[in-house]
Amino acid sequence: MSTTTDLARGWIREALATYEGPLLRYAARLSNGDVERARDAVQDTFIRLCRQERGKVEDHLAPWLYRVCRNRVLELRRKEDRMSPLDDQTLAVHAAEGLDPADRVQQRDSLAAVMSLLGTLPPNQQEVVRLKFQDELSYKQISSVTGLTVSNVGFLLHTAIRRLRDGLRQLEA
Amino acid sequence: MNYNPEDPRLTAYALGELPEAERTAFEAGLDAEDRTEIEAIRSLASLLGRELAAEATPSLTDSQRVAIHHLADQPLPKRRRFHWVVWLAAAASFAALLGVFLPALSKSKVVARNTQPCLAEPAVETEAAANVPADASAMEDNAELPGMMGEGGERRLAQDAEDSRAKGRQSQGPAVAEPKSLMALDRAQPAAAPTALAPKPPAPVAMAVAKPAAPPAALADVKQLGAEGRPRTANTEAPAKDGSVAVLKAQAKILQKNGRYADARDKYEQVLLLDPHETDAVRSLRVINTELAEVANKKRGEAVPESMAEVSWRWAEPVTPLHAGPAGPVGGAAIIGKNGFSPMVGAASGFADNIDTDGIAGARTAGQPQPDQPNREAYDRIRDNPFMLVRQEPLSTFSIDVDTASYANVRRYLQQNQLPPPDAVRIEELVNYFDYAYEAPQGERPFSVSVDLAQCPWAPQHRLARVALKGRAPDLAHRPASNLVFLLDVSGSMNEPRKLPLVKETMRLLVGSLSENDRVAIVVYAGASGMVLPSTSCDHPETVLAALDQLQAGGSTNGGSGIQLAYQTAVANFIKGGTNRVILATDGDFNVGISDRGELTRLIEEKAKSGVFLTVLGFGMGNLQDATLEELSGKGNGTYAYIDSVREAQKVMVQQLGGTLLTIAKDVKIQVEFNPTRIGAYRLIGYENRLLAHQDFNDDTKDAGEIGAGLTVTAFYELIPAGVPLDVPGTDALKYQVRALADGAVSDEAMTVKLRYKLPDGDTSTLIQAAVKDQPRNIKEMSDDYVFATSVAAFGMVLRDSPHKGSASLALAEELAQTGARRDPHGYRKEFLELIQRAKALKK
Repeated sequence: MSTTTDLARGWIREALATYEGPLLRYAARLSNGDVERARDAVQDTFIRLCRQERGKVEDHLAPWLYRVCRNRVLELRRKEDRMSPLDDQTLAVHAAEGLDPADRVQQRDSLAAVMSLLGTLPPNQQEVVRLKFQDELSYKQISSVTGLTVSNVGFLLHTAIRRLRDGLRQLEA
Repeated sequence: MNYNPEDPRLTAYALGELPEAERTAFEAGLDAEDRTEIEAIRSLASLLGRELAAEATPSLTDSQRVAIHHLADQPLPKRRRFHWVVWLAAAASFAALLGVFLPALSKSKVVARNTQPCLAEPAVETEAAANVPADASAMEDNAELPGMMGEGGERRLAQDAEDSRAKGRQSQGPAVAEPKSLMALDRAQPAAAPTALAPKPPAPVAMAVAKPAAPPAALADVKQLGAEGRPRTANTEAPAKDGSVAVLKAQAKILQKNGRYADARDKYEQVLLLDPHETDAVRSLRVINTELAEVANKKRGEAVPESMAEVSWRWAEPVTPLHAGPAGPVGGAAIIGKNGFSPMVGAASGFADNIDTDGIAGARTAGQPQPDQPNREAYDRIRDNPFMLVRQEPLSTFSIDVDTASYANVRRYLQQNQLPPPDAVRIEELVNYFDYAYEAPQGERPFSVSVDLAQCPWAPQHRLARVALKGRAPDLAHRPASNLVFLLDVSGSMNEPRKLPLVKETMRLLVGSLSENDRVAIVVYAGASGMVLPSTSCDHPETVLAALDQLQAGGSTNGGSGIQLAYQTAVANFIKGGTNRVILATDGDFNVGISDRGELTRLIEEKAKSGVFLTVLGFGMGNLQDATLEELSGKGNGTYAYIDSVREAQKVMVQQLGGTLLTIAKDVKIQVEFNPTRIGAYRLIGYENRLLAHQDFNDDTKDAGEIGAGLTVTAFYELIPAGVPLDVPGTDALKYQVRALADGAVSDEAMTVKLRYKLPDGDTSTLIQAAVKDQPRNIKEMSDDYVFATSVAAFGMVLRDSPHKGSASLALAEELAQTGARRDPHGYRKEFLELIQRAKALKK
């Protein structure tokens, strides 16, 4: 009995190992750099994963995790941040500063350039760009995570890419 | 470059995200420049991938990880164990409860069966909802991702059914139904459970636990007493299964009636597990699945707001706060409360995630009762244009109009299950809301003009002439610099979810499309008016966005001085050859200072001469001063749109950005002369408040409408051909003059259409004219766009109950729209069909 449990439930440990970092990075960005809240959200996400049957979520594990994590972060924000409606502004500001002051010391120049340009984009475009290029989700997956339509996602990505290219060109000039 | 650089398909193709069929088609159209572009996109993509992968990832604390591992190591179905415990409790308290329930049962078995599951459910939900909502949404876990729902429900229940059957229980149905609620209970209150299990406890928790246990126990008892077979069950399986099926079906019907489709579907699936041929369940499941699919599509189609946090949490609960007022319960509670259910039920679902495909959300948006606030909306009286005899009134003169506010407003009414007031329906704005594939203009002309003649669908002896204008497509990549001033109403009346937050979101969408050549200033008016943000370039939009975010509503409205300040700012930062615009966002309620409408319009007229154009955006309901806003935009060289949702904001600010920002012609007037030998009488459909005096056509000092890039203008004339008997009042024959026919009358022309327009910064108008041959075509030969436009016109006439609607009806509008809605890139035509459905339901 316990052997089957190990095999059957080991997938959760695997999922944790694979997705802990990326999910935390994503959640931290969504919570304006609040790593504690990100940790809570990600932990809740995995706890919820423990209640799922493997077969039901395994084939779309990544979008499921991101989706649940996103909703949980927003839920936490709703409950705890009722008093501060300036989230978008702070998000835009923090986005330019990067996650963790300690990390910035280690950033290479190219990363710094890209990150600062990324920070000038509106938060919704940033989210989609990261989901696509950092977390490697497809348009459809991004659509199910964020609730936007696929064409919305395409439009946001295209606009973001154009802006980034213009920005990079200006930097090089 | 073959493709427009703004085309999102370029990136989609570069990243391999275009579906197969589209990809081959797209690829075929690529030229060398396009390919370079694609390469550039790809190299940026890999740069981004590389750099972003290097970003540091934080980690969970050790104790958090350990906690997850611990949970992970435990096997999944914990409910089984608690089953045992609860059954023990049931047995213990059964004796006591039987005394309570048996009398009720023997009175009316059917009623007891129906009410007990009904009572049990919300009572149990109360407990679950009283705790962390995450638990109650265990059911929603799988509701979150579409396509997984059916499977999830089945498998979970199959497992439960197996478990229960393996234990050889008699009444399996209710037992299977319990685990979900009990599971929620258990997780929520593991400490409380033991106390609940003590026999005869007075606490409501015990009742909640015991009640669900009672029906199965009681049912078993009833069976033993020799109850008759359950009604409506057609199968002949063991009596034990009959009972469970009937109970489940009863529960499912109640859930379905209350709009809890996902739960109802779970119940029906359980029924089918027990009896795969249960016809009721099969039928109901089909209905529920279509219902759920519709709700899911509608939610997704409504383009969940692109900004997170502030807008998204407020928008998870549409409209309801308006009914309850500022202090009322939020979310489904307000609606479900009215049906007598525990308000906690609503609160639990109020925490549902953004894409809530459960029927509760659908129930919230559909069937809303009227707002409790007094309705102080103001619409100008409109009298439908009557038929005019060509012999006596050969000329028809009017100004074009590209406003779309009336359509959005009518949509808002219908979506709240109310018929719009007839005066809120301006037919030309309904027709002009949609995008038509008219021929693009050639050469230097800013727009193309064409006239088509066909049979009239609602009066077979009459004809319809459609005058169609199409503005030059916008070149957004090379558009001129713009100088915009946002003039925002932040008075107290704007403090509602569909007002100020939506205004902010609309402006954010606009700012999202601006770049370093564009300047934005923000002026607010409320009590005192003030400059929130001086004219700032959009190369760093965060400044503008931050200023927007900080806006809060309060004070009374003083539109007048705000308008002064806004125009002053616009003039101070005027860009020659660029776009200079004031964008006014308000619910129209000007009630301090220059509140006299006449004075306000004179002020605007004056300001319009400075060369600054005006866009008026109306928001909100219950206070919408439609008449004022319409007049302001007319006098101010501007357009008027009504924003009722983020989707509409996207249409105006993103999809039709060119149309909103780039004016390609102003003071556009149309004058038609009809040929009396061909046409006996005519009637202009709509444009009632756009009519001009005939001599104003050639008078360049007289103001008229403007047209933005890429927009279309459509006007219909209903014509009674010469020779058809007329019932149109006319005047007596003149005593001192005779109206003789000119040589031009002897021709095959039905009419001549003349058009005057000025370039945006010009002062003299240019004339275009075209003769139209009298060759009407069969309606079947006309394009889908033509047919669709006639459908919208018919719909408008029916909503206005126009005396000239002929045989137009909602059924006719629907028929025409279905043909015409084949090409529907943004889904607006399909939405229109839904509006017809709603109108039909309301007219009954």
